[in-house]
Amino acid sequence: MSVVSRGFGARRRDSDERLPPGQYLADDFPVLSAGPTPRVDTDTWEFVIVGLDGIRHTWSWEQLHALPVETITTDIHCVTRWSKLGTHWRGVSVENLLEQVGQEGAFAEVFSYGGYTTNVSRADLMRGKAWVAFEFGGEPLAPEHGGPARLLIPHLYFWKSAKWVHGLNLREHDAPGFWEQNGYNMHGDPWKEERYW
Amino acid sequence: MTTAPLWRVASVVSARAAGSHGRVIELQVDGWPGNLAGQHVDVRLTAEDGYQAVRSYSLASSGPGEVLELGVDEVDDGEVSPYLVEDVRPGDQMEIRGPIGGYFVWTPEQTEPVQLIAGGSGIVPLIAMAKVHAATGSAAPMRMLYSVRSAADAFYADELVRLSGPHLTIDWAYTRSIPVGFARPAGRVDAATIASATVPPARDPSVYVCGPTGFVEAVADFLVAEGHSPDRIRTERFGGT
Amino acid sequence: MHAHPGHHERVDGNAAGGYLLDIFGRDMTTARATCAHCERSSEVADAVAEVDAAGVILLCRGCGRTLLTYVRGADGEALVIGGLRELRWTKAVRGVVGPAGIEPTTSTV
Repeated sequence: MSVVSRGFGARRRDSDERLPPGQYLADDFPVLSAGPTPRVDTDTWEFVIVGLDGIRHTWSWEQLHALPVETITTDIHCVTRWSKLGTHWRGVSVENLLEQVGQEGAFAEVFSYGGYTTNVSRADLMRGKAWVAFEFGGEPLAPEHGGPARLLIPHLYFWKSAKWVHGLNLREHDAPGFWEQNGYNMHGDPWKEERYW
Repeated sequence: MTTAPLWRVASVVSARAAGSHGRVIELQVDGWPGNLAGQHVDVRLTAEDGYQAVRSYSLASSGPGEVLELGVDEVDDGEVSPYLVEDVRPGDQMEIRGPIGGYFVWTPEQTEPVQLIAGGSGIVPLIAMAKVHAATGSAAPMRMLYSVRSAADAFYADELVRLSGPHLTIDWAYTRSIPVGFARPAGRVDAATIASATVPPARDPSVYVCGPTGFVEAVADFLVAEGHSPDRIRTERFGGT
Repeated sequence: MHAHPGHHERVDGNAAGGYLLDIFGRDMTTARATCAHCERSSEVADAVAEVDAAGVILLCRGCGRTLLTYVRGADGEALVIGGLRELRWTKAVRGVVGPAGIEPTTSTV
C-alpha cells in the first residue's frame, strides 16, 4: 500500500458510488432555465406524439391520468454537476403512450411549451426509462420545475428531462435540440460523462 | 507496453508560511530525476483507511538534486490544500509523480526576451524560471509582473527583491490594497498595466502567464490586444482545491 | 470542493498531464492535437480542461467541441476520443517523462 500521510483524510467529501463521475450531492434543487417560465392550464394541456406518418396522437390531462400512473424513486444528475439521490415522482410511462403509436421512428424530437427542444432515442424512452411526470415530492409539479408536466429521463443528464413537455416528433434520424445545438452532447449518459458536444 | 511512471515517496523537510494563506514546502525525494523550471508534480496523499487524493502543484525549484520546493495556496473548503498548508510538518510523507509538463517551461537555452506574468499562486512556476535565469547568468532580458491582492499575499516577496536587478525587472500590481507610496492605485491588471509594465511586442518576447483561469484569460486577451502574437504566449491555469 | 457544489472551474491541458501520463506512458502536454470539428491544431496544454478525481474532459479551445473524455470508475477506465482527429508528438522532448524516466535536456527537440 502507498505510504500514509499522517492525519490526512479528515476533510474528505463523503463519496457515494451512486454518483456518476464528476457529480456532487446538492442540498437543494437548483432551477436552471434559459427563458421565462411558461404557464400552461391543465384544461388546455395536451401531450402529443406525431408519428413518421404525420398523424398526431394526443392525450388530454384527463386522458393522461386515465393511464397507469407510476411512482418513481430515482436519482437525477445535472450536467452542471449537481445530483440529487432518491427523488420522488409520479407520472405515466412514455412506453404506454408510444405503444399506441406505430413502431416507426428510432428517434424523437421532444418539444415543450415555450419552445424548448431536446432530442432522444426511442430506446431511451422505452422499458421503464422515461415518464411524463406531473408530481414531484408528493406535490403537483411546480411551474418553475417544469409543471404541469415534464419529461423524466433520469438515466440521462437532466437537460433531457424536458420541462413543460408538450410532445414528441418521431424521426428516422437523430437531430440536435436546443442545448445540443449549444454545446451539449447528443446522448448525455452521465456514467460516461457525455456532457458536451 | 510502457512501464508505468513512478510514484516516489516524498518526505517533508521544511514548511514555512507564505503569503497570507499559503505555504512553501520542501520535500526530499530519493531518486528524483530533476526537473525544468515551470514543470509540476502530482502529489498523492493516502489516509489511514486507504482513501487517496491527488492534486497537481507547480515546482518552485528546478535542476538536479533531490529536494523539491512546492508553493501551496489554501483554497476555501478544499480537501488537500488545507492539509498541506495547515497540517503538514517535517517528517510527514506523501507521494510525488513527475516532473510533468514540457509546454510551460523556460530553459537557459532560450535567449530571447522573456515576460513572466503571475497572478496569486501562479508565481510558483515563474519563480522557478526567475531563479534558474539568475543561477545560470542568462543574458536573456527578463521581466516579471506579479499581481496579488496586497503585499501580504505575495509568495516569495523577499526572494523576488533579491532576484531583481539589471537582469530581472519586477513590477507589482495590487488588486485590493497598495503599500504606502505605491504609485499605481489598487485594481486588476488592465491594458494600461500591460502597456507600461511588460516587454513590448516589438521585442518578440516569450510570454508566460500563470494563475487562476480568469486572471490568465484576461491577461492573455490584453496581451493579444497589445500586439503579442498568441503563439508567443504560454499559459497555465490553476483551479481550486 | 468549492463554495457552490457543482461549480467547476475550467483549467487547461497542463492539468491533464498526470492522467495522460497514465494513459500514454509519457508526458503529452506538448503533443499537438488537431480538432476533428474545426481543424484547429495546438498543444494539448492549450486545450480547455475540466479535471477532477474521476478523470478529465478536454475541449478544443477554438470551437468548444470535446476532444477526449477520460473517465475512471470502480469498474475500469474509458477513453472516448471522437473529437480528436490527430495527436502528434515527437520521440523525445526535453525534460519530458518517458518510460525510462526524464529525458535529458540535451535530447533533440
